[in-house]
Formats: sequence, structure tokens, C-alpha cells
Amino acid sequence: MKTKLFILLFITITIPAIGQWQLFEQSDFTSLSDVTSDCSGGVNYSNESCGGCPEGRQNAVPASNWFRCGNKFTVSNDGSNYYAEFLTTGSTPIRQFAGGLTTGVPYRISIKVSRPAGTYTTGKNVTLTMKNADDLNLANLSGWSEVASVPNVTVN
Amino acid sequence: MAIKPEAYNSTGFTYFEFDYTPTIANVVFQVSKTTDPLLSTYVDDVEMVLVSLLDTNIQDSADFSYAPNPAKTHIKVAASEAIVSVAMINSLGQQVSTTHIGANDGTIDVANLARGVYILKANIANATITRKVVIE
Repeated sequence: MKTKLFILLFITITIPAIGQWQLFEQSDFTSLSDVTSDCSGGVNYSNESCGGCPEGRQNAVPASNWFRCGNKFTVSNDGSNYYAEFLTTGSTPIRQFAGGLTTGVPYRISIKVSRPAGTYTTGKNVTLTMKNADDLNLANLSGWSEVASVPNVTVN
Repeated sequence: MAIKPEAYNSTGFTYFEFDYTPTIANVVFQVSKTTDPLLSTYVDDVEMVLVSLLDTNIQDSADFSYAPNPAKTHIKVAASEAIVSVAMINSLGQQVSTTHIGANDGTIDVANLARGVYILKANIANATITRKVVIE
């Protein structure tokens, strides 16, 4: 009886503690259809057209998955692996809502970055920024807070 | 924020990780390319995990080691005390495999696991150690 009670207690405590621990959905970019295009025609906070601009204004925040503002982004496949490709000039950023975060508690964010073979960067190459989800569609509010930037990616 | 660049390099991708402590519960994250507009940039496996879930080792983490990470076919584990078992938990919280070790070191077969990020959960004597691993 004690053993059964212990097991029941263990399961009760352990399962919610693990739960769904990965907070980004479609983190490995399995296809372009997983990345929703959901912007108000690429309009910035001054109502100026800027398709795909990093400051792009957002009318709606999808509850999950990546979404993009503009078409300078795609999901590519090298034959065995899907990955996000930020295209050339006017590269479209991608966004994802993360709700219910515990404030004041550290999270570990990881990202894998690559470049066309034979190229390298010496400055910021990829930047991760964030904004209060409630503010995403407010006019006169520009700028995102930088969470981290990835420098010096070299591919031989 | 603490960036740990180039923790490993695999299949042309360079892995970066950093810690982020939110001050707001509901946020929108944005990933963007910032330099060299004439060249493409590739991004994969953008993950976000509670640090406490990764580092809940009851004992000193130096007592436990595992490699390689990322892994394709197997992961070797070792500890200063006998490892009872090692479980692999997928991103949905489902325990997808359990390997009984019964020694201070052993090998986990991960060849049949789908690629992605997993939590490796090792039961060692009176301790439980969890680590994030990538299966490619």
C-alpha cells in the first residue's frame, strides 16, 4: 500500500514538472507551411510600407508557431535536414509568441546558425529580440529589446 | 545574458546558447538577419528550455558526463557512482526510451530516435540528473 502511494505521489509530482518543456514550436523548421505569414501587409509603426522589415507591425499574434512578415524567408532542405533560410536583401524576420513564462527565472535559448560555404561574418549575424506581446500592434512603439546576437559564423 | 558561442560545430551549423531571464510573462521573440544582405543565412533548431530543468542535478555536475552531443547513434554516459538507468524524454514530455545501465558507465542507443531535442534523465544512486541533448 505504501509503495502504491509512493508511486502515485511520484507520478503526481514528476509529470507536471516535465510536461511540455520545449517552449518554441516547430523549432526544427520541417516545412514552409509550418511558418505562418501573418502581418498587416508589411506596415511599420508609422504606417509606412516596409514589407519584411524587422520593425514590421503585427495585427494578430498567432498563439503558436513561427510567423513571418514578408517573403524574404523560406524553409530549405539539404536532402536530409530542413532549416530556415533568411534570404538576401530585405530578409524577413520570423517571430514566435511565448506565453506564460516565469519571470525572474532563467531560460536557456539555443540556436544553430550557418552560412553559404566559403563565407564568414565579423559582426552580428543573427539577432534574437523580444517585445511584450501586448505591445506588438501598438502604434508609435518601435524597437525590440535585444536578447542576444550571434557573431562570427564561419563556414569553410 | 551569457553567450557560449561555438559549443560545437556540426554539419556546417554552429551551435550557440545563452541564458535569458524574462521580466514579462507573454512575449514575442523575433529572429532576424542583421548583416551581409547579399548573402543568405541559415538557422535551425531554435530551442528554449527552463534552465532549472536542465541543471536539476542533485550532485555536482562534474560527477556526470555524456557524449557526444549532438548524437546520431549512441550516447556514452559515465558517473562517479553507479548509473541505474537513463531515460530519454522528447519535447512533449513523453519518455521515449529507458536504458538500464547498472554500472558507472554505459552506452545509450539513440539510433531509432527521431531527430530533435531531448532531455536525458539519468538516475544515479540517490540523484537524478537531467541534460538537454540533440539527436541528429
